[in-house]
Amino acid sequence: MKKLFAVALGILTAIGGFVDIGDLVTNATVGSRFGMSLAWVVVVGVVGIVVFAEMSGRVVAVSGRPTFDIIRERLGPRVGLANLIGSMAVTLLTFIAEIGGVALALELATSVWEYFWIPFTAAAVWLVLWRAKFQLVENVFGLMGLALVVFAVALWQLGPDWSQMWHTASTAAKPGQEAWPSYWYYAVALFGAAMTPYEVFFFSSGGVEERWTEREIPTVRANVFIGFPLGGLLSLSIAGVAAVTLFPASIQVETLSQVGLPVAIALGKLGLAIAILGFFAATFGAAAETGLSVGYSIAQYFGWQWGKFVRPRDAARFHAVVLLSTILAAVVLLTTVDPILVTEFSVVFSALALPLTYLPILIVANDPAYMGSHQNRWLANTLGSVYLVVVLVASIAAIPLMIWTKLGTT
Amino acid sequence: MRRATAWPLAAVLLLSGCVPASPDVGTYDDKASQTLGSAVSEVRTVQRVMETSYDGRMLRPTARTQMRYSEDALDTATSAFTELNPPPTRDRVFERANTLLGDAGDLVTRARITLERSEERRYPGLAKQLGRTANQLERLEERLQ
Repeated sequence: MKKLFAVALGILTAIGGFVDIGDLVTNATVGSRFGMSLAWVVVVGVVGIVVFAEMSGRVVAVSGRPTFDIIRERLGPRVGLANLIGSMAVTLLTFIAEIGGVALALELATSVWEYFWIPFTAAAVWLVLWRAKFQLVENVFGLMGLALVVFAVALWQLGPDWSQMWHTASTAAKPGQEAWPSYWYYAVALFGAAMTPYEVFFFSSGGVEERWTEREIPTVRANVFIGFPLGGLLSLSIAGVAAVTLFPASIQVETLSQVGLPVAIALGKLGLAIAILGFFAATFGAAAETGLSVGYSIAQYFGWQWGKFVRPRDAARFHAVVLLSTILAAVVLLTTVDPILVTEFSVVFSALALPLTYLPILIVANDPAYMGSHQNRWLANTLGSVYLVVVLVASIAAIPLMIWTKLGTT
Repeated sequence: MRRATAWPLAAVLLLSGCVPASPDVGTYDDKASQTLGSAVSEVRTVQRVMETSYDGRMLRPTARTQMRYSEDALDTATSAFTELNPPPTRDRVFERANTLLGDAGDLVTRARITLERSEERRYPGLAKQLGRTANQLERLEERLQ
């Protein structure tokens, strides 16, 4: 019974924790501009994150060490450094975007200017990272993030023409008024949002925090194989409500309040309040995860003591990195940079950094010295190799498409 | 001597970046159409906010926040458009778009004030006017595409 509860809790937190500010903004933007024609990208992205999260979870469960630590040992400090710089820069950018997202959610609930909330948000995130237990960070915000199920309820309540939606999604038909470069730019952004590198860092380092062993592999797989695809359905619901209400009205999503507007139309004040709670939980949870991931990646590369399973005093440098990152995030946001713009950059740069994150995981998961009898089988290798080609193409295309389409505005 | 000519040239180049652009017809149409598209999006957003507020389906702080964003975004779009020098063949488009963008700005400001004062009986009328203006902007946008 206890085991079943642990599995159910893991699945629920995986669903609730799947969506972050990048998914919220990108899915709503795509739904409002392209209808459901880019739904296939969410499916491709979810399968990709499932493949690599399972791999990195298995690496942790078998070796008892986080993926980043093994990457440095197995591939040497130079490759490790490239991996560190690329992935950490994107994770830091995502951290900034998530803190901005929390401030935006608070602004929606109070109408008090978002920049007022930034110092308080940053302080609250840092306090949670410093004082709260790891399970608390993971479970509380993951479960609160389930409030975003309100988007699925809103979609059902709006009563769309399901066959038309399926037709648009399955044929990937681009709306006539949109240009192909913009279509592909948003495809790359959506893919980057679904496969954000920090998700793998947090997942694998979290495994060490929770002391996974080989016995936990079935639980890890249940979380990944059930929780992540259901989280992907939440992403599709966000795109779906935007496609049904905003797309026909030519409303393009530029703000978080526009992301919640379809829920207000469908379910009224209560639905909108639940959606705002979901925004808060999703962004706060992701801020905690990205903040920890920045600390994890740097501490693991330099071989420092890290994590929340030891007292803060014993992992002082790890906590110092987390504190400095939080201060940096607040300072960047207080320059009055638009958090939504930071989010757009973070998902595109995520796509750029994908090969640096996922190639080393594939290599380590194939190494019998670390994995023993749990090394990758043919299915994981086939999918992993196919996805490496996809992430490489997305990575190469990301910046040229961003420049060509002026961040998707043309 | 080389240095003496380089500085004025650099200054001219720098200043030319601060002068309103004079695009060709195609570029002008693209930019105008983009601006009108953004304006349509903001006006329709405000229209939806007024409608849902009238139906009692919108939270007041969220409505106020969205009003502020839409007003700012519309101002930015209007400034970006009026700063462009239209080609002679697009004078009528410029005037029409300018009028519509001005009307849209006025309506959004009125909607914000009405919402702030909670004058609910005026919400449907304003929503209707916003809808009409959005339709006119959209038609002009389609003509330029």
